[in-house]
Formats: sequence, C-alpha cells, structure tokens
Amino acid sequence: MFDEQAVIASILKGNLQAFKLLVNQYEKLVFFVISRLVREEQDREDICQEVFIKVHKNLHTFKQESKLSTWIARIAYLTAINFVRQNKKYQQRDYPDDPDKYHFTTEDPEELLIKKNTAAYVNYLIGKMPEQYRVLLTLYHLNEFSYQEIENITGMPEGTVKNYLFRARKLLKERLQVYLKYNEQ
Amino acid sequence: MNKLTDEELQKMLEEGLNQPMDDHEDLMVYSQLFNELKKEPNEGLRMGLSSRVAARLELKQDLQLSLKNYLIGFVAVVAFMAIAGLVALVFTKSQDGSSTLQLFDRYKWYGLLSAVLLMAFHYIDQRIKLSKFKV
Repeated sequence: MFDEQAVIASILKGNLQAFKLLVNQYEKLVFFVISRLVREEQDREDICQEVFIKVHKNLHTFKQESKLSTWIARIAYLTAINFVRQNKKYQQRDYPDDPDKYHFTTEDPEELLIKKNTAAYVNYLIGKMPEQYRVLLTLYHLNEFSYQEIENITGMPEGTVKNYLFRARKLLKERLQVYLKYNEQ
Repeated sequence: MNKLTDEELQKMLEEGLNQPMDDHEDLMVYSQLFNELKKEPNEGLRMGLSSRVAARLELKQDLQLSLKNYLIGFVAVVAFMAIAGLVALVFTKSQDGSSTLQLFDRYKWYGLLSAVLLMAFHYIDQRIKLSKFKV
C-alpha cells in the first residue's frame, strides 16, 4: 500500500526509489490531465516528465493542508496550460472567448467514421470542446476530484466550475442522444 | 411524474441516485454519458515513466554536483594565484620583487578569464546534455 507520508519523508531525504513509487502512484492522474490539453504523444511524455521533476523540486514546499493528488494535479494543469499557451500549434482559434457560447458545429466526415463506438465518439466530442470543458470533465469524472478540489487545482471559482461542467455535459448529452437514435435505426 | 430538468438529472447522477426510470429518455442518455466519462482512455504513457524521470533527476543532480566542483575549482585557482603572488613577493622582494609583481599584474586577468571560460564551457555543456536528455 502507498503510504504517502512515509514516501514524502523518504523522498525529502534523497531517496530516488521512493520518488519512483510516487511517480507510479500518480502518473495516470497527471497523464489524464495533460492528455486532455495536449494532443501529441511526445509532447505529453515530455510534459509528464517535467511535471514530476517540478514535483520533486518543490516537494519540500508541500504543506499537508491539501491532498498530495490535488497538489500534483495543480502542477500538471498549470504546466500543461503554460505549454499550450506557448505553442502555436495548440492555440485555439475557432473557439469563442466565453466557453458558454460554444456549440458543436455540424458533423464532419471524421465524426461519421468514429460513430461506430460510443466511448470513442464521446472522447472525440470532448476533444472538440474548449479546453476549460475538457479539463473539468477529466478532473471531475476521471480523476474524481470534488468541486472544491477542482477550484484549488484550476483557480476557477466553484460556481464557474459547476456552470462549465453542467454545460459541457448538456452539450454532450444532446449529441449522444442523436447518436443513440441514429444507432437504433 | 414531472419531467426533470437537465440540472436535476445531472445532480441526481452526481449523487449516485440512478433510479431506473425506463421512460425517462434524458436520464438514460445522461446515465450512459456519465459511464462513458468515467472510462479511462485507451491511450497511455510508455511503460517506465518513473525510471525515465529518475534518470533525468540523477543527471540534474550530477550537473549540480559538477557545478559545485567547478566553483570550488575556481576558488582554488584564484586562491592559488593570490598565494603564488604573495610567495613571489616575499621571496623575490630582496632581488627583483617589482618585476615579478609587474608580471603577475600583467597576466592576472588572463588567469581569471581562463578559469571563468572553463567553468562557463562546462556549465553550458551540462545544460545542453540535460535539455537534450531523452530516455
């Protein structure tokens, strides 16, 4: 079993094996956050490594006021966001400034091809959404953070988190409803 | 039964209250959506991320250690030059102290510059190694 306190204490004494345990414990969490923002595999790998190097460097500043997973997720989120902001290939030009004004566009050929599998279709739709929606859906549903924890990770007020999450799910539901009807035929 | 709003349906599913209501289409769709959102993506990282990160950290620690050693080396060179100058001054004062000091004075910046350049070269070399490091 992963004993967080003991592992942290050991890492702070310079034990790299203990740090490897921590990486194994949280690599999925970090990957989920990053993969929703960054598409390319090599970039994802580089950012994951960068996140854990930052974790190692700053672990002495971690105060046990929050959960370690929340603290690591915040580092992952900020690192990925900074990376996206600095890389032109990831900059979103087709999205409105206010995510509340986002709507799915009409179906494209790629969407028709992917419609054979529900999970793949939902992931495809999420990939088309504004980054705020993508991150919140991941943090809430996949990483199972609470609203309060998501507020601490992203810095968005809890009300905004709830609103974006509600709207993202509603948009997905509307598309999924059409998809399910289409598959019934 | 009154039709539940999207907000109510989402709240209900968030709280895990997924009562079977076969006639409620929206609930069924939301329920399926919530299940899909919980599923982990098929793609993932290559195996052995922890080893790759540990290797990078070791390289970084080596860099810090070598920088520390270079700094000690630099201080040693400067100290050696200062001591050599003093020794030269003491032992040659009676003979030709002024010319030895002049010689020392003339070349001191070359000595210091060489030490600084050597350190900078090693530092840049290590930084490049670290930035290009891929496992």
